[in-house]
Amino acid sequence: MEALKKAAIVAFFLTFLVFLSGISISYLIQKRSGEEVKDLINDIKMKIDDADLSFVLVSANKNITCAFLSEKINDIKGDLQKITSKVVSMEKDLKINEEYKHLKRELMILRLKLWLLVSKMNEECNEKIIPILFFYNTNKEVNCDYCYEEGEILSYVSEKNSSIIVIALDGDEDLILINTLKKVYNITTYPTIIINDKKLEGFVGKEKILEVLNLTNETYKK
Amino acid sequence: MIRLLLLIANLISIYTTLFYLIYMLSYREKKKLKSLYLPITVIIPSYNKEDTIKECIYSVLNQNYPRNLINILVVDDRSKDKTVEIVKEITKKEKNVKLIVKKEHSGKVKSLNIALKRIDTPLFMVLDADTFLDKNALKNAIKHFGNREVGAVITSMKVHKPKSFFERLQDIEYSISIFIRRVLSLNDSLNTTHGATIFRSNIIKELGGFDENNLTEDLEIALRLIKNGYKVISELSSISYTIVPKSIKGYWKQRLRWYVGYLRNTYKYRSIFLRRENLKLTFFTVINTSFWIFVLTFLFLLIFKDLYSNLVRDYIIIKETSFYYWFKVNFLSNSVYFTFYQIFTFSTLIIFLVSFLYVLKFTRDSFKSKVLNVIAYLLFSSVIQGALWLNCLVLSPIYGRKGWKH
Repeated sequence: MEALKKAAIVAFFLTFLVFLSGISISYLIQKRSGEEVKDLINDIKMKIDDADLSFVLVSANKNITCAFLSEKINDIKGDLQKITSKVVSMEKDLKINEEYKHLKRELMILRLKLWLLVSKMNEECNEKIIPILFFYNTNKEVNCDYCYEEGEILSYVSEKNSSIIVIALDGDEDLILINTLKKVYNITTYPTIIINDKKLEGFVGKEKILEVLNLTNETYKK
Repeated sequence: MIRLLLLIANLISIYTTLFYLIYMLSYREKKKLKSLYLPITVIIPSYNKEDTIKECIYSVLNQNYPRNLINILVVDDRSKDKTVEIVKEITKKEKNVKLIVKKEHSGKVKSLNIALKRIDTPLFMVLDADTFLDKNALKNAIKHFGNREVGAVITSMKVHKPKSFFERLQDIEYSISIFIRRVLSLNDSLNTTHGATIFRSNIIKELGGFDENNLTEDLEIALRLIKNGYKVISELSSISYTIVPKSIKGYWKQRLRWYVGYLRNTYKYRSIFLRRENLKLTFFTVINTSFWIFVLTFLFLLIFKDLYSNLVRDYIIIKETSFYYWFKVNFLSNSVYFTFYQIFTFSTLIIFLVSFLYVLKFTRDSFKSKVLNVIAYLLFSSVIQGALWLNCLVLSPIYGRKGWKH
């Protein structure tokens, strides 16, 4: 019995040690990842403010400012994509904490800001960027089948065409602007996408999206 | 919730693995057993074993054990191949090899009981016709019979020349079994015998021989021995080699019979698990095994569900975008983020890998050559075992009610 007891106790402590190191390592990784996302968010915030400020100059020199804005928006688009994949993988974690929820909310606000920026630029400049509003929902009780697939298809379409920007909005997020947009477009099912005020409900394949965007499939075969 | 359950399962698996290892590492043999030389009859039930029967018989004849103390009794179950001719040829040369040819094909267990009536040696061995003994197998196992309480001694069964993928997986599985059985044996909790086991003749005769209506008579006899106060021992240095199914089909069929047999016999002998003196046996063979059955089936269902939904998801994305895009998003993305759960799964795998390699050292296998087999075992075994247990649980009430024949 002695050897058995000894083994049981030593094994218990070793298992506890493994558990403890697992928790510490994942805590450190989580912390680092959270900081990285925060840095990226701050970076994007500055870029948006910078772009916002430049509207003052539009009347002075439209061409230069619009070119600058277009470049900035594409830059922000890339950064947002980066954060999105980081936040999505954080979501898979066992521990979804307040910090994560806060980061997600900030991300949503940034997307909305980008959308406002794009709408403003479209008013002021000749070069048009088409924003696609993509409504999904992370609430487990709300049916959102094929939302992930739709998101990937939209990212692909936007990646291939710099004049398209996807503004992905979580219908579960309680933000005034999101709630208003949901009311305006009468969003009841997910996924739903809005392209040039045209509403497409449920899963929509690439062909249909390109058709609504008046784009040919040729660019996408490359 | 599912992840939390998996995390708990992970922790218990780490605990059990470490427990077995630490126990074996810290265990010191109390006293060295003295060699014992007793007459023994080796019963070899055969059915269509022309490829292996000769090697099997000679592995017994060439034992490092007094030859005049060894008798071999081959009981043929009406083989359709040349098994009988081969054995007859051997009986002409070797006086201590006898052959009985049954009147009709009626299965292995009947063969064993027929042989049991004819033997007069204090010990007998059940040796499958596709299993071979190492030179010192008898000598090293028989010394345990100095203890009156010992009813059976099982050899350390390894896989004979594993070549195919499934043979290699089973090779690792058998090594792990040897290790676990040794721990169980040291704690009077070994609940099985197998196709290379030595029994004390009078005890088995008193207990009425082998159960002819049982799917796994080797498991049943072990439980019957325990029920009657006898011990089943596993000896590491007594080695045997067996031929295992080469393909998944054969493997599946064999395992299904074993697992259903395990469930039925555990239920049949449930009274012994409730006895206070059998606490360790109950823990090792009922509680621990039930936990593994639960984890493995649960894990399998989870993997299956994930695999299915991922396949559908990936198919849609590849179809709508491009293979390259899908690949880029999934594998080339710069946002590598290890979750809490992934870290635990990874550490469990590492602990298992190290433990299994250590087990190989314990069972005197060269572990350097088997690192890849161990990794393959780690990757595939839990899924296969999960599917098998699931199949077994579903089939259990209706599976082969009339016993089995080999």
